[in-house]
Amino acid sequence: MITLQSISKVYRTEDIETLALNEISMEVKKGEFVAIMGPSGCGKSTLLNLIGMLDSPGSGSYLFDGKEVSGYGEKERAKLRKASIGFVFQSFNLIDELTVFENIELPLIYMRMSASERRQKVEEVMQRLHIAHRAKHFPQQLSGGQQQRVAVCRAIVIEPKLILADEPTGNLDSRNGEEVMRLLGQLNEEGATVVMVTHSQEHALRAQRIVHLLDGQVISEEFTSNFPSQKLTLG
Amino acid sequence: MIRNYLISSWRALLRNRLEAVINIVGLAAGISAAILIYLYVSSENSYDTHHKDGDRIYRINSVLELDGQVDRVARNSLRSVVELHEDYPEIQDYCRVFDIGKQSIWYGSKMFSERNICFADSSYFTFFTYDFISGDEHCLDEPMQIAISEEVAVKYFGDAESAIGKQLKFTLKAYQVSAVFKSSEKETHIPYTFIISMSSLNRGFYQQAMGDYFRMMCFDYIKLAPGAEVAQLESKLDTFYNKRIGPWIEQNQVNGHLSYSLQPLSDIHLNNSWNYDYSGNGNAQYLQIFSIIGIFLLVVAAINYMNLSTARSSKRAREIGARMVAGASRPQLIFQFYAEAFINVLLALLLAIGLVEMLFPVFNGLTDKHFGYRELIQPEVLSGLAFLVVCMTLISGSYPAFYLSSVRPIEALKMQGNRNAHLSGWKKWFGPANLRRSLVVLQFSIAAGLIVSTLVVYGQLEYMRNKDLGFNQEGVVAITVPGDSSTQGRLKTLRDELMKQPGVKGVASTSSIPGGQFGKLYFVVTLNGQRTNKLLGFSFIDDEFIPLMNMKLEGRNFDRARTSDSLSSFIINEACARFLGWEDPIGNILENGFGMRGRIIGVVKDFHYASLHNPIEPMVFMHQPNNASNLLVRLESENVANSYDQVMNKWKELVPNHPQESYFLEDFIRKNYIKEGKMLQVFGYFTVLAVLISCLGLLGLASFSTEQRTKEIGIRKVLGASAGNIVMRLTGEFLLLVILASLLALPVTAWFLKRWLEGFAYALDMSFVPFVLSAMSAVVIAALTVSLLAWRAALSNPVKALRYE
Repeated sequence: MITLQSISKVYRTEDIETLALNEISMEVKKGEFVAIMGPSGCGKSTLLNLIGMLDSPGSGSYLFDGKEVSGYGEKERAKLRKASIGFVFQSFNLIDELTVFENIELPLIYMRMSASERRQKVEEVMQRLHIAHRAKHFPQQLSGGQQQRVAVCRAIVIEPKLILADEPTGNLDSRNGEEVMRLLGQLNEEGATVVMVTHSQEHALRAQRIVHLLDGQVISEEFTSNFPSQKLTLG
Repeated sequence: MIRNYLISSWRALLRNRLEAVINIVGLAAGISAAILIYLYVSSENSYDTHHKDGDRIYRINSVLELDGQVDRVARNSLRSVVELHEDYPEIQDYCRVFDIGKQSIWYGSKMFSERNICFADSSYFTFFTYDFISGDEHCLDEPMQIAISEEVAVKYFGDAESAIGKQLKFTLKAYQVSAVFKSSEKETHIPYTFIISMSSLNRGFYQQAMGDYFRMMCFDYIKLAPGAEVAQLESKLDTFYNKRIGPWIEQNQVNGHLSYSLQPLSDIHLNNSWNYDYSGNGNAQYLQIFSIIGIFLLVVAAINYMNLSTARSSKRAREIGARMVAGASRPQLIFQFYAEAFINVLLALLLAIGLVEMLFPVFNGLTDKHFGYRELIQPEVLSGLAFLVVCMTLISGSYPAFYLSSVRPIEALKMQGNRNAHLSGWKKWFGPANLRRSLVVLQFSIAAGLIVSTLVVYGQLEYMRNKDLGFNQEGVVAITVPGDSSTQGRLKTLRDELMKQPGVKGVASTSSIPGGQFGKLYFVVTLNGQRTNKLLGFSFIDDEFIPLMNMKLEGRNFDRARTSDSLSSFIINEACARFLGWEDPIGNILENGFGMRGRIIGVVKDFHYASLHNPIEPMVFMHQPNNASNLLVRLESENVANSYDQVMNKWKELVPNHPQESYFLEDFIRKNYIKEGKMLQVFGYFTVLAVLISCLGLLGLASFSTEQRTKEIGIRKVLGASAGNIVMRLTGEFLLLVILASLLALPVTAWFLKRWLEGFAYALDMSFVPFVLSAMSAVVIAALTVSLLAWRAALSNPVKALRYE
């Protein structure tokens, strides 16, 4: 589903140049659950943002569903993003002025779906993630776990091909973190491709494969017990 | 989708109440001021646009040139327009209007002193459109007919319907009411409420006036034939001069020239560059100034919105990022920001309309207008307001719309808490922080400019009010003397009786009141052996006038005992001596237009007979103790009010059959500066408003900045910074911006003010004081505004501040 070939990303300011990703190549197959791990500043989030088309690579090739997207402009990326990718962030990134229902509904609005269809889909997803009783609440009125559940609802309401989660449990206590991981696992089991950045070894083990990054490079890749396979070490 | 935008905008508004109040109240204040200014400016521009065929009506103004002396006057002779009509088929019709000033009018036991009276040709009502209550446009066809306004009819006859056929008695004649017309609801420069048929004029007087091209007594209006070109007609007027006026000038041995200028009817009210025009005319320059102030206020208010929106941008970045991630396209985000701006502007407009309704009484008092809610629901006002909403939405929503929506989603999500750090290149330069700084500078430049303008206008007004006029006007009462022969014949008795009243120091007579307008007359003087005509100001006075007014005189005063003084003596002012090139004028010969020839017996030190808008003009006094239109009574400085009452009671006893009219000379002179006074008031109000709106914006920014720097404040306090250090740090940047704004604004304002002062013949010397004061007040006001919040932040518990972050 995703094929990255020699992807590099450099951030420049007036004084310094930082190589965030250095010729990374990797592949994510449809239906896979991949965790990306590594120390702070190693380029995990940058890689996730590139995969999610929130940012564009400096060089290299990015095939999404067989199409080369590395040269896409913001407009084309936005179009592809809203149809195919759901995001879950560490800081939830819910809109404070909108209720739970309205937050979840937002991507459907941008897809120009009819109101009745939107209502049906939002209610369905809220029921599924057990947040329907909070539909009229605002984000500040919810616990962190509940907020993240809303964020997950928002990510999956469009039935994306790919779910990207950037440290989705980073701001949650262990119980709520576990709940979110259970949700992601369930979504993966139902067929969604999931790529997750995490610091937690325990949560990474819920994935089928773990990609380790250091200084903007993939240093190793391992299959977990969820994906019975032999351990591979690349360099 | 729109519902979603509206919901989030409305909730954002409720969540950020301080910001919302600043935005909406500031915008409302700006819009309400702009609405008032718009109503005023459009009312002033609407003068005489309602008359039927008004676009074909022109007034003939005259440019007189006599021995090199040029006078541009709004009036013309009785004669010329009649002949122009005969000579040029382009002129379809003409109407002469002869203003006869103040008159006493009687009906039964009622008597009033009235102004706004004229003689006019029978075509008057075909030129100027009025609705008739009774009578019709032929009401001036016959001699001794008078058309009156509805108010006049009610005042004299109790109602408008019964006025027709009744007689209004003037000093010399009575006229029969032939029509009652409704006072125009539309604006017009024509002030008349009594219009007498021109054919009622004394035949002898009329014939005499018809023989002279240089007796500028009428306002002459012409109506062009349909299709006639005004430029074409103007180009032919030289031929008229050669054919008609030239031979007359030669025949009458006048060394002069006369040319005409055609002024469109709708241009008369605001173009007051012609002498002897209607005194109630407007001022195009003030209109421009008010329009600029209106735009400034809108800009200042719009800046608040832009500033606070960009300030909030980092707080909103997460929302924008989330929307982008959720699939919002750039046009959708732009639309959202515009929708928010639209809601704010709409709320502000509704509040502004309420404010305008509340302010109408005050504003009407300032502008002598009668604005009410009806003006607000005029189609052009409503469409103007719709246009304003669109413009303000575009102006105030554009930056947030385009800047924030141009940020990439990942930048938006990273933007939280920091201002420009995430930006690079051009975006940093044009980033929100620098834009806010520039807008604060612009806003305070406007505020500082308005403050200094108010100070200079105030200074000029005070200068004019307090300038030594060359005579002492304090405690002098002017009484209008009726022109009938019985009163004029008793002038000496009246004067003597008034002198006997306690508290009266002196009584003098004059034909024109100091501080008002004086007449001009042709004088013949022999200069370098050649007789030449000179147009000079004149006044008839008695021998008491110069001492009573405390004027300084060289030579001798008129002497009532010398009959020759009334027949062959003149007193001139220094300006006249200079104008005629006489170093030692006493003893020189002068001859006036009435044929009186005599010697100069005295020279009065220059004084300001007219207002300070005009330079001191050459002036000639003639002695006429037995005929006067005004008496001046100087009262003792003690018990002025009491003395005044006694004098006027005596006057009523002495002249019982005429309406009384009297006023203090000081008040009369002060009226010359009413326009400047009103301008000062308007300037003052709008300056305060601009400063308040700017401060409101600054308060919002300071609140934002303090909130942004909570963590920094906490850390600094933990490291030992005092509250004073923190306040300095928080206010310093804003103060620097305000100082920069003052430095930028003041030279530009100085240039404009210098030009404004050049319009006065006598203006104060502009010093640096008002500029320093204005810069200082801008800084102090800004410092007070910002430090209020800064102190609160500085005194807060540092632990709280750190926990907050």
